[in-house]
Amino acid sequence: MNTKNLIKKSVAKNSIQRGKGALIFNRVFEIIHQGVTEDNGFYVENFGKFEVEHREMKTEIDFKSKSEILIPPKDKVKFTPLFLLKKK
Amino acid sequence: MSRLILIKKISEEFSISESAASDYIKSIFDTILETLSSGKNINIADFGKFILKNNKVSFSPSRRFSEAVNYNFAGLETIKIRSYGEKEFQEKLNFLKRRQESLEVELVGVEKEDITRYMKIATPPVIQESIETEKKEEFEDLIPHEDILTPPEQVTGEMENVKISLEDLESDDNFNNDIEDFASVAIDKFLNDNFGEQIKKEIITPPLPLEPEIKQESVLFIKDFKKPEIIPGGAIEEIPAIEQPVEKILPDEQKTIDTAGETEIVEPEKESLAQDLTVFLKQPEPAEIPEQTEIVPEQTEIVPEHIPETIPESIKETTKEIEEKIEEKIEEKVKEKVEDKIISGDIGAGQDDLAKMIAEREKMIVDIEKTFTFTAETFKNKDADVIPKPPEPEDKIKDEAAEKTQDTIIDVPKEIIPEPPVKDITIKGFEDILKEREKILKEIEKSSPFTADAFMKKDEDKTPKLPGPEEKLEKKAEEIKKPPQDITPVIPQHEAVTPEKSYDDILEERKKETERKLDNPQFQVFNSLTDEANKQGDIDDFITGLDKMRENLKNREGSTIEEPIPETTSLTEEIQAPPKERVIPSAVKDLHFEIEKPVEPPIGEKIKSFNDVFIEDNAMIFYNTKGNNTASEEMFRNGNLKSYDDVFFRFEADKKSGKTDKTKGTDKKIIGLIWFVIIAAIITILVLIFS
Repeated sequence: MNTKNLIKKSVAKNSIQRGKGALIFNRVFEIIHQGVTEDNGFYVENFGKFEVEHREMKTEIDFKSKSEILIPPKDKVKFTPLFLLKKK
Repeated sequence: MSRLILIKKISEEFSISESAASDYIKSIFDTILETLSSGKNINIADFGKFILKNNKVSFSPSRRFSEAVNYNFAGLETIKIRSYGEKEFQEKLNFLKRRQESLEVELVGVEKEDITRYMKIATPPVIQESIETEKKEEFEDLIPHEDILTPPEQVTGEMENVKISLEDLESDDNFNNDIEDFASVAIDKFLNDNFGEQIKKEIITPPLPLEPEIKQESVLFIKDFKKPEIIPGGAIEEIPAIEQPVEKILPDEQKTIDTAGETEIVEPEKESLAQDLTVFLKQPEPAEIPEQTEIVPEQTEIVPEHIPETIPESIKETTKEIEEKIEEKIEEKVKEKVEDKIISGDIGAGQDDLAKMIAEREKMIVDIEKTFTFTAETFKNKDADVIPKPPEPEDKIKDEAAEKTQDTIIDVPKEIIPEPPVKDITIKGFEDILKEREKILKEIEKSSPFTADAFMKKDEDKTPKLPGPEEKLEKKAEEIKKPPQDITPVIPQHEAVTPEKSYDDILEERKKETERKLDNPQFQVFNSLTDEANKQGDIDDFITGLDKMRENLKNREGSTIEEPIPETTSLTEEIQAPPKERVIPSAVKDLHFEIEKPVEPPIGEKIKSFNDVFIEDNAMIFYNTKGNNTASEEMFRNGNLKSYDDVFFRFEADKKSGKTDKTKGTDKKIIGLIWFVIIAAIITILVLIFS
């Protein structure tokens, strides 16, 4: 689903205008983005937790080139959902 | 950061109530959940994707988001460390596969706990799998051989099994190094980290219920075990070998074997009976033994309580005899030592020394008490924490003499030193002592002829006094104040004496000159300022300089200018005289007026600004230089000129259009006319011919 459809659905539940709703929608995820980059995490109740996870430098074997490779360290975004999806 | 902050920020930024903002945010996340639960992925622009995989949500951030998060490690790329050959690569792959498998086995083992708990300590994770698989085969081999294992051997039995498996693996060269490394590590651990203790601790824990397969295995370990019998005296009887293996063991027995087989019961060495007895006699208290056996829950009571009762009488007798002998020997040795000392007289001398030392010590204490007076008043004084008693007069004189020798450079003879003043009893503290010392020093200085000042004065008398700068100035001022004396001129040597002029005549002339010069007031002022040595030379130079100046002035003005010659030659008259009018020749005058002709604006016109004047001047220049420039001329006349650029660009535009070049236009007309005439002539000729 795209952002447009999401905005449509979310606006339909509330009395907020569509244009304003779109702006707020974008702003919400901007704030989350900002929180993750600055504070290394953002916690949304009943939804999930965005965290920055550090992956250290490591060596791996590349099967294609048959060689040992050194993979550099990296900071990754990790999302841990706080909800359970119903099994089909 | 949490949802509350999010709501606050949005309500502030979009001027919405917090409730409305919270509702909207909640609706956003609810819609996301709904879509995910419906089994659809979500893609939010510039944020990321929520992807469903096996009913689990995973988030993959957008490139912008991930780059922002990974800002610190941005631009780092993978580095190729080394490339493997085919053989090496295959070996590596095999190794990795086996390691993975072993890890899986280990994980399974953790769930079981009961078997692998022991195995983990003794075996490496790589070999663990092989041990489990080969266990049965090994045990099957062991049964027909009927090898009997004692309880302490049973503990290491697992390790032996491991060795067997290692030997099998030795054929594979790939694992040789790994196994060797592991073995070295295991040995180090066993030696350094008390490997056995770890096993003990694990054994202490109550054993968990065993599975049927494991029970069979345990039977194999336990089959040859017998409960150890304890002999009085700490010695344990050796377990006799069992010829037939036990098929089944009851659970109670099994437990006891598990624990008893792994306890460390040290068997004492049985070299001789006497040694055992001595050990027993030296350590009759059985309290230490239970500490060791505390590890074992039930069978710790190895040491019996009624040991002395079991000792036979024959042993008792022998012990008594030994004790008696030892006592006798000790007594004999003591006696010998005492006798030796008495003979040498060491004991008596020592006593005397002690008495002397004590007496000396008492004396010292008394002396210290005398010298120091610790009172409440003295303690309050900050300056005098510890006030020594005033020393005796003789000692004081000596000290003062020593101080003097240090302070004053001169060695004071003893005869000169006066008797010190009577000591004040009121002196307290360091400051008072210093004051007293100063007083004494002053008295000594008064009495003694050799003092520091006197010593310094002697040196001053010897050294000649040089005049200071102030004195020099005073002298000079006095000299200046004095009236000018009659100067006797010195005739230079280069002025040769002729028969016409004698030496006296020259002198007289010189005198006259000097007198004349001295009469001049300017000269008098000058004379007072100059030095005596350079007077004559400077005056001459000054006069000659003045003459030269006059000559120069005359030369500049030219001979045509009739200048009235001043009567007086003195400087003062020249300075006092009024300024002369400039006399300019007529030719020069005309030139001057031509150049400095003032540009007056015409009457009736307003005074133009600088810009207008500049433009006009430029226009005039254009007009003058390019006289044929019609455009500029016209513009100037019409007054359309506004700036230099206008003039320039207009001029260039005219150039291109051909307006500027008048002559060229006329030439073209003429040429055109000529061509017209020629063509007309040709046409007429042709018409005439054809006609």
